[in-house]
Amino acid sequence: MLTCKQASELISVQYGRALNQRERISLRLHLLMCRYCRTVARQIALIQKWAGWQGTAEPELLSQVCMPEGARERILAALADKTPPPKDIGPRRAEG
Amino acid sequence: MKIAKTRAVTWDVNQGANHHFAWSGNARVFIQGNKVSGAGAACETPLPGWGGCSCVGRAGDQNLAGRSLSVWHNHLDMHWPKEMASDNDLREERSAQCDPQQWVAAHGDLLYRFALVRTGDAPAAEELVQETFLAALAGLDGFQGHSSERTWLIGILKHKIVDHLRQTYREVTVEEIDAEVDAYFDSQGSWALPPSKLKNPETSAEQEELRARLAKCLQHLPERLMRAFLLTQIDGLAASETCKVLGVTATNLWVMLHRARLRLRHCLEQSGFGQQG
Repeated sequence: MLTCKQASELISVQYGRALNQRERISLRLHLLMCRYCRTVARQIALIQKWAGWQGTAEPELLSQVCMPEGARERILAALADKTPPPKDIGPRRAEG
Repeated sequence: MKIAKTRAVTWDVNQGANHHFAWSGNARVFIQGNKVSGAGAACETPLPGWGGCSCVGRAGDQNLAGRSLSVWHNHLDMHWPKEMASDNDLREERSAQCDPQQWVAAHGDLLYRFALVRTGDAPAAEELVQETFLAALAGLDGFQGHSSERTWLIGILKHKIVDHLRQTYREVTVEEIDAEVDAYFDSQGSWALPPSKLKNPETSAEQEELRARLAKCLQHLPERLMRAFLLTQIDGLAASETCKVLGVTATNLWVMLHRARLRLRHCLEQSGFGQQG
């Protein structure tokens, strides 16, 4: 019989690989009997769902942090020489 | 999800000419009921209702004469597309994209945060942002407008970060004891405190709250756990690749991810999110 600690590890492992048969059965048995671990399984599922939503946007993450002083100017100076002139991408279409 | 028709305009089109349209938001574009496809590429955000999308479509090969272009969307913050832009407008738009001053102002801080949270190294983060802008300038022609400028820049930055992490690689071992995680269990391996049931967020306000709280919890994770979770679970970096850049074995990575999840769920509980008692 798994302890809650071991069961929580298997709950977590599921998000990285498929459980083998022995692990799957022992986790299922534990979850049948342990409402605390059922709750934790739901909590972790929610966290994983959130991770999926986050994508790469994460606007709230460290949202108070800005580039250090002078960084903007340093980056702009580095970019200044490398900026290509606007490209001609084709003739302007006739209006109307 | 219900899709509301917001507006339809008639676009006076010269057959065979190139016409460009741009919009941001989660939008689907239809021409008289037919979704624009092929040469008139439509653009959709990969995650409905989340983030934004700006897109330049081209409808030159389609016979659009006298037809109406409608934009249907399910994104509240969608901005109405710029009025049917001509080639010249598009040229101006590309020039604007090329303006480093505007780039740095619009995306600099976000890219910096993105790099900082993943490298934990402020000077390196600044350098990575600079390298990203330089690479973006050099590869401007490669930007097809299928994704937003920001997504495109983040894509470049992600590669730079992985390269950087690889260079600074050093082997580490995961500490055997994580006192905080161990304290969640008693000596028998049972939960020391009963976990509280959390409400499943159904409304967008609840989802927003969950997102904000978890983002905050993520920041409070020990740095290595946060990075492991970010790279694999949010950025979608493969486990094998993450092991390389973090300098840990596969087993250690699973242990770290497990600890990160347990700490996140504990933090979420502590924050009192939607507790049902």
